[in-house]
Amino acid sequence: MTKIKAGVTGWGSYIPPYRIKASDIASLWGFDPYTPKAIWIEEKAVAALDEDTITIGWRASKYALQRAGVKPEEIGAVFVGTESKPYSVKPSATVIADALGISPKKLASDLEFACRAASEAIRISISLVNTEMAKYTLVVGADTAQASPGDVLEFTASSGGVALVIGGLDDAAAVIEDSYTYVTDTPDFWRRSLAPYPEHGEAFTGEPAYFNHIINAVKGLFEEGGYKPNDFDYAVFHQPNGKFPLQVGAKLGFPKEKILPGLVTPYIGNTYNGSALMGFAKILEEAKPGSRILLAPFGSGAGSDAYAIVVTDHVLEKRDKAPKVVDMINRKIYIDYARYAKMREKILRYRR
Amino acid sequence: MRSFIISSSAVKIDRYYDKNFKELAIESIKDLEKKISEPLEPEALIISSVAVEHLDKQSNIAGIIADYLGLRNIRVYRVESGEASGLAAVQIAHSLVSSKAVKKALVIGVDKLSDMPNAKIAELYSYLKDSDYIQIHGVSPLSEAALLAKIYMKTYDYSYEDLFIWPFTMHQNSPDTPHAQLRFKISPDSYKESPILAEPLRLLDSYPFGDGASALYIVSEDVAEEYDVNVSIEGLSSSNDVNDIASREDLLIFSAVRDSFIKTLKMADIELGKLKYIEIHDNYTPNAFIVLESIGLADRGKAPELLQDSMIGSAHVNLSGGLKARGNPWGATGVYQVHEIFSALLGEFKKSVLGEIDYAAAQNMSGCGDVSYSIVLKRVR
Amino acid sequence: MMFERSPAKIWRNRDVLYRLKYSYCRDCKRSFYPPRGRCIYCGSSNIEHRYSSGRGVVKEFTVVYQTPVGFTDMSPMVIGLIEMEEGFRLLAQIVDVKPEEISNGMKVEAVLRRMIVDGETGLIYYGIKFAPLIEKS
Repeated sequence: MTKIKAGVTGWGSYIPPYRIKASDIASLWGFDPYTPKAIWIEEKAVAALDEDTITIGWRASKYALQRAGVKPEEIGAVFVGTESKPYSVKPSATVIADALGISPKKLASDLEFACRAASEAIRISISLVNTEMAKYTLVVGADTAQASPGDVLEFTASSGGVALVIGGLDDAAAVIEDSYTYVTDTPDFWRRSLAPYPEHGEAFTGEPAYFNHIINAVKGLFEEGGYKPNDFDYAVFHQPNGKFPLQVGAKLGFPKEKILPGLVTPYIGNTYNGSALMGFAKILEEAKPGSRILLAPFGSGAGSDAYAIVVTDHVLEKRDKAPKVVDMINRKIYIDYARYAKMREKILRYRR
Repeated sequence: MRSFIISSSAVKIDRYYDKNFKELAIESIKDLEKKISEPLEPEALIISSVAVEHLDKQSNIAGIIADYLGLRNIRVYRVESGEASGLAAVQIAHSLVSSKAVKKALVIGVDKLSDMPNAKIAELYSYLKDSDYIQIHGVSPLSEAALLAKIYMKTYDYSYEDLFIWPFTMHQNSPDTPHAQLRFKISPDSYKESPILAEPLRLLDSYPFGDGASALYIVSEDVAEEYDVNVSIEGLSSSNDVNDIASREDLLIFSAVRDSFIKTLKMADIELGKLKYIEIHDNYTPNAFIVLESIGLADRGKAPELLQDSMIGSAHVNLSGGLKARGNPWGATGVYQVHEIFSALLGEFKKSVLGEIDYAAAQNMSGCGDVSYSIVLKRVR
Repeated sequence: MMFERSPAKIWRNRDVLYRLKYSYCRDCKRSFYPPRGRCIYCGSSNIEHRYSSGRGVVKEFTVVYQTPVGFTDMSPMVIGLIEMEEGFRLLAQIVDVKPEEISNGMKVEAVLRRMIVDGETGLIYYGIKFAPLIEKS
């Protein structure tokens, strides 16, 4: 079955403290007040004007290195999965790497696959570590997600990021037992090259995209690895809203008790490349050693990866070495729509 | 070796939307020219300006002004040492004259802060800080002065209201200063209600943005002897400090101000008590007090208490209204200061307050004492 | 419109601005920022460059309303006098906290942020600002 000899050596996350309530967005644009509840979104995190994917990714990476206890020079690759690159041309990974003191002797690039690019980076990292091309890699999933004002996406498109140090088994906080990937050409969500905001197929993002790909990836993992839902203590899925993960979990045979611990979108919104990984990071900060986690990120376009990951004893000594997801969920500075519009540059103005 | 000032002039600091840098500079020497008995034929022209290249997209300003003045075959220099450029230019003129390189040097300080909006002027002012490592943090002399105000108030137990004595005094002095930009008095309420720039500092703790130009004619002894009344440059010096105030061991003394003043007095061979009139660089209220204490006119933390009717110790300070009310057109400011103390020695400025005096001084710095220049003048005849 | 800020400047300063590189004087054992080749306290050139842990304490701060062009987005911008664990002090922005919640003695950590954005097409300058520690909830 598994040939993977890699694990998560360290993890870190970052959620900006600014929050806008979904009810404020609904009220401004004239949505039925029930709308946020229908998709279960309470509030979302908003990046400040001086934040972007690079700064969020840097902060999460700094915390990941703290937990990994790895020297920056030992990192052999840096990948940034994002769909909100500060530069269209010029890598984010190089800035994050240099700002952390990671040596020039490394691979580094930004990956794009909607919300799934960071997950692809995990699979690439497994290969690099298994083939000893890198001792450790740094995987960053970070976004300052855009949504056209008034689009239903605006309820959830938020800012945040997660970083994982992927390495060998020795000092892993969690061991990656197995993984499976399912990718097709499915046009559920896209943004053309000079367009400021993405478009999406609304309900089409559901069945043929989100559900189809996650279910096929998880079933593939189950078949190849011989797993059953009962073998897992936690299940974390990509979480574009609060409802989809519970629905896809139910279809796969997971009770909501196994899903809720890793479900963060209702409180911070969908951090896109940070989405499923944020739930995963939270579980690493809570789960007992020996717990098995199903992790299934998804990205539009579309694809999903399913991972079986087992928490080790090392998780205990690493947890308190950096701020936890729950601490950042609870750290809030509320803003109104006007301030949110300013912070996300939705006001037409001359830059000064 | 001494040099002598035989004439000076200054335009009222104002908004000169209808004049460019050259025209304002040339306007400023009209009165100077009237006061000398010979044609204005300097062998050197020294222009002090902090921001001409940013505000006017202009380099070689000294050569161009010389051209407009009809001066040919002379030495031209442009001097820029931040806000202390004016006195730095005077120092260059003095060096040229006292070293006998030239006999006559014309110094003009000019800047036009009304040419661009306030946020741009605030940006240019932040250029006084190290652009690589300090200015990039958003730091400017304003934020430094605000921090110094808080530290000053806490260390010496003053309230914000206690600081009002400085701007109040400056606005008492400015109404009869002909070239002052702000010639009105202010009340405690207008002080406390003026807009916040960087807390606790408000608009009335700062200087107005304006356009100004001032000029001095600095000559050798043999040229000066032909004039009835003249004034010698007895001492002048400068000193510098680390640009980042955060690294200073003592934030409440400007060592550059202290050191340059000590050197200047030594060169003039006089005691501080001999000076009856001093113009200091009060770009922000806390800086005025720190300068007075750095010079030694007040013990540490005592300047706000000791200041009475513009007097501190035996000296009158900033009878012009200072940067606060006379104005601070950057590169011209130091030249205005020397124009004022020179005119006072001739009995042509603030005579009702000062009477006849023999010595006067000026102190001109950049930012929060990053560099500081000082000068002592003596009435010779 | 052409960019206004030099790509070379952003590049050569990146160690200092991204990682708070500072100077340590081997003779007088004092630290200072920005890094220089000579000690600002004792004049020695027996200097080594080090990188800060990023942990510091607010000694004083001011809330700036008259912000220069390039920083108006941050208005009102908080500038703090920060004392780092390594002993040196610097002036830098404090972010992610309401001014009324800042106090002298507050612990802060260095965070990478956008410092200046060069117009619509130029480079983004990144550098260090300071944020309050994220507390355990």
